[in-house]
Formats: sequence, C-alpha cells, structure tokens
Amino acid sequence: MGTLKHILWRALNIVPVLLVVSALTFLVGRLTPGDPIEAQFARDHTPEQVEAIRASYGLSLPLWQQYVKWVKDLFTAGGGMSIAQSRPVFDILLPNFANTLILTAAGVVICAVLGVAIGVVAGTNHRRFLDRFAMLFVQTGSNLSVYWFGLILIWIFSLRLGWLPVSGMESRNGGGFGDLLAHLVLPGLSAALISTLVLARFTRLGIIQESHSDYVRTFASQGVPRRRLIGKHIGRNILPAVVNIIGLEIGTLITGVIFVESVFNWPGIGTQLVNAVNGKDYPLIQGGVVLVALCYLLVNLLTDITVDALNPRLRR
Amino acid sequence: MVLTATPNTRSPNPLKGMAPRRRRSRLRVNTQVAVALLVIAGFVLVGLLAPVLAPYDPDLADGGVKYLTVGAPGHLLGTDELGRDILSRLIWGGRTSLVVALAASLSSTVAGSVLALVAGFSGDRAAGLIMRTVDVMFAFPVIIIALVLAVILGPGTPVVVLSIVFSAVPYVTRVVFAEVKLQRGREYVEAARSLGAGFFSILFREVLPNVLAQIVVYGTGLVGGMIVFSSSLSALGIGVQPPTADWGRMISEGAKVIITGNVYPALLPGLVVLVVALAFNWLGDGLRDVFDPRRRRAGR
Repeated sequence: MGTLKHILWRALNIVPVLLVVSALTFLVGRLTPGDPIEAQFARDHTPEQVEAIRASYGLSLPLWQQYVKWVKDLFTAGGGMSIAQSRPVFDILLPNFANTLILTAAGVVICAVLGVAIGVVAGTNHRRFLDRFAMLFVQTGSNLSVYWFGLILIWIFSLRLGWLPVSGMESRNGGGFGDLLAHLVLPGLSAALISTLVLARFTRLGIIQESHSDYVRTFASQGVPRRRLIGKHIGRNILPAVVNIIGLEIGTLITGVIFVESVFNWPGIGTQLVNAVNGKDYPLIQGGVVLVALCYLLVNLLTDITVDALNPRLRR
Repeated sequence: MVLTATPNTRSPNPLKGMAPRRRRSRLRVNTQVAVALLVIAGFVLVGLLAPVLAPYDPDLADGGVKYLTVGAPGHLLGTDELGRDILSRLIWGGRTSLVVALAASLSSTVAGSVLALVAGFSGDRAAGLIMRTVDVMFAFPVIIIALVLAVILGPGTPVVVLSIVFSAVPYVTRVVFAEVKLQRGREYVEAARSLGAGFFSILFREVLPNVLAQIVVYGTGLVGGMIVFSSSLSALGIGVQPPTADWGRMISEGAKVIITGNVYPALLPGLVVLVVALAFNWLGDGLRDVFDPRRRRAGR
C-alpha cells in the first residue's frame, strides 16, 4: 500500500515538471526573432492574407491565450498544426518517434549487455592485463565523438567489409525482422557507446569495492566458489546501482540517438527536430520537445520504481 | 553525451595507489602530466602560429586537386572534396575548436564554482534552492538545450558555447559543492568569522583557495569532453557555421563524401579531436594525483 502511494506520488510529480518544460519551450519559441508565417507565406500572399493565416494559427492572440490554446491542442488537436507541413504535429512526429524508440531501445540493450560484461571482466581481473586493457579501451572510447564513431563504423563495416547496411532502417524491398536487426547494429552501437563505457566503469568499481567487503571475505574463506560469489552475492548487491545507472544513462542515450540518426539517416525524431529548428516551425519543435521530455520523465520514474523494488533498504 | 560520462566516472577508486606502488605511480603521474601538457601546448602553439604554419589558405578550393590521399606531393594530409588542403584546415580549425572548448569550460567552471560556494555557505533554504535547480538542469538531455538555444540564437558558435555551459554547470556545481561542504565546519572559517570577515570575503578569500586545486583539476578534465561535444554539434549543423574551419565541421563535411570511399576528410579531424581530448583527460587525472594523492585512499 505504502509503495503504491509512493509510486502515485512520484507519477503526479511529473505533471508540474512537464508544465514548466512546456511553458519554457513555448516562450522560447515565441520570443525568438524571425517570423515563420512571414517566411512561409509572404511571397505569394497579400499582407491581409498573411494576417489571416497568422490568425488561423492563433498567433495573433495574447501570449497566455496562445499557451492555453496550445496545451489544449496537445490533448485534442494532435499538438496543433505544423507551419511548414500544415498537418497536425503528432501525425508528423509519432511515426518517426516510434523509430527513435526502436533505436533507443537497441542502444539500451547493447549498453546494458556490453557495459556489464566489460565491467565484470575488468572488475574480476582487477589490476591484471584484462583490466588494464579494458580500462584503456574505456578511456579512449569515452573521448570519441559519437558522430565520428558512427562514421568510422560505417566506413569499416559497411563500405570496406560490406557486412552491414550503410544507412536507413530497412532495405528497399523490405526484409522483415532480420533486416531491421541488421540495420540496427551500427547505429545502436554508436548510440550506446558513451553509456556503455560509463556503465562498464561503474560495474567494475562496484565489483572491486564489494569484493573487499567482509561478507565476501567470509564466504570466500568458507570455500564458496568464485563464480557463485560473483554471480549471486556480489551481483545482487550491485544490481540496484547498475539499474540506476542504466536509467540515468538513457538521457545521454537520447542525445546520442539524435546525433546518430543524422549519421545513419535513421528516420527518427532527431532529424525532424533539427529540420524544424532550421525552419523555425514552432509547433513542431514544441511538440517534439514535450514528447522527448515526457519520455525522459517516464524513464526516470520507471528507474526509480525498479531500483526501489530491487533494494528494499531504500524504501522509507 | 560525454558530458555525463566524464564527471560521474571520476569516482575515486579506493584501491588504486595503495601501499607499495605509491612512489612509482607518483613518478608516472608526473610523466603523464608532462606528456599531456606537451601535446596540448603543441596544439595551442600550432593554432597560434596558423598563419605561418599552414601551407595553404584553409578555404582555398582548388578543383584540380580533389580527393588527394595522405602523402600526396604538396598536400601532406591530402585534400577534401573541394580540393582544400586538409592539413591547413586542421591547423586553422584548431583555433576555433580550442577557443570554443576552453571558453566554455572556463565559464562553466567559474559559474558552477560560484554557485557551489554560495550554496555551501548559505542557509539550508538557499542551498536547497540552488541544488534543486541544478537537479532540474541535470534532467534535460543536452541535445534539447542545444536545439532550443539554436532556435533562439540561430545556429552558430554562441549556441555551442552556451549549451556546453548549460550542461556542464550542474556537474561542476555538484562536485565543488561536495568539496565546499567539507570546509564548512573548519576552524579557519570560524576564525575568519570571529575576526569579522563578511560572507563573500570568507567565501572567496578563505574557502576558495582551499578548494581551488579540486576546481582546477575538474575544470581541466572537462575540456576534453567539451571539444568532443562541440565537434558533434558542429557536425549536426547547429554549431560553428561555414566557411569557418572547425574540426567538427570538417567531420560533417567529410561525412558527406565517405560513401565514395574517401575516408580521410572525416577520419583525420576525428583523430585530432580524440588526441586532444585524451590529452586533457590525462592532464586532469594527472593533476588530481599530484594535488591530492591521498584522496584516492581516503575512499570518499
């Protein structure tokens, strides 16, 4: 009961944050110099017609009324009309948003698997060759630009070796799930790069610290096999921290995904947002930002709940 | 991106540098600092001397020599898709990239430190307000900040600097705040207070010198990530604008021709970014060990 209440309380906390985010994005769009309606329609319309178009977008209302109208639009009118494409914003964004989610999910999976694997290998071989090697790898990787890393992956695996597709999300004649997976490997790896390395460091540190604690020493002296010690006892103790890091890293991953989308021509929300910024398409930008922010907040909530569930000591 | 990676991962490893290996590692640390400084100084010098060193005008497009590879006569590192000399562009591009990264790191370090100092020595309410604001800043994906800023200011160098500052300030604030809190109950603070020193005088005359080493170390470590991040923003088209040569732009321009098999226009600037970023990371790590060798053992 207490837990349920706690979760509900956390979920309710999202609402004010979203309101602040949406108000900020809204204000930023409106206070910007440059007039998208002028830019879009002034050439082939009379000034009166341009004014009428402006009014039809609700842009001649007072600022606060525009905001209220926009929030209403978010729920009822698909986030308002895009200025450049004259379609409801969510109609434009949602299909691509799904693609972004697919890529992000792939990134999370790769990050979790690779990151924990590298961390465990390094941590259990503390100060030996494998550890040194892994840490060198991690330090170098942390200083790579995601954008550049993606490019080099394309060059090696697609252009030189020809193993994987260069870009896009599916082959021209479609190809089902296997085809999607093949298209996911390189962008997923690039998007996951930084988070994987962060996770690897944390896992390694967690294992090293835990393996010097009293309970591990006691178990070891009783002859508990090393493998079981690491898998069952140490593993269980560092799991909440690891899950927490993965959750926190999803924010980094989203940023990475937007860079990666532009390298791999992935039909996601990142490319659309960059275009919307360049075209000053306010409704599209606002809708996109709110969507990403909502996603981010939901992930944080889920992470909190999972960490709580894994570690009853944190519950209060 | 890297922003989030570097600071978190700096957690001191309590086991490293224990007992017998200490003397040797201290020596190694100094070598590390020296090497890193040498690399950085080299790049700074090359940037300063760009007009003298660069063999060609970085923006001079010579249609006759497109796509020369590394080692071509007259063009040591080859030419790009417009026939511009890659070496000259790298030399000139370093100016932009280094200035952007250094300016951004410096301003975020200063801003974050001031916030942390004030938060550390004011009442619970003010400290809470500052640290909660920092938490909210943490909650935003950097890219959203960059995009929003690009809308307000139009794509360009200020967007890069500001979005870096916005995303780095929370990290600096948190790290320095932890240091400042440790100073709070110290006797010298009490002594200064009883001598009648004012709030800001205590902060900047007494406390600041005691945490300065940590601030410098952390700020140095930031620069590497900043160079990488600014290059990614330029590559996305919302950073440094053409025709200014910049390592990030060079990567993104190279990206357009990589499909034709010409990897050098993108590969070389990326490698340069990697080397410089690593050098700053090394410098940061090395400085930490020099300034505060016991910190790691204390296992904070």
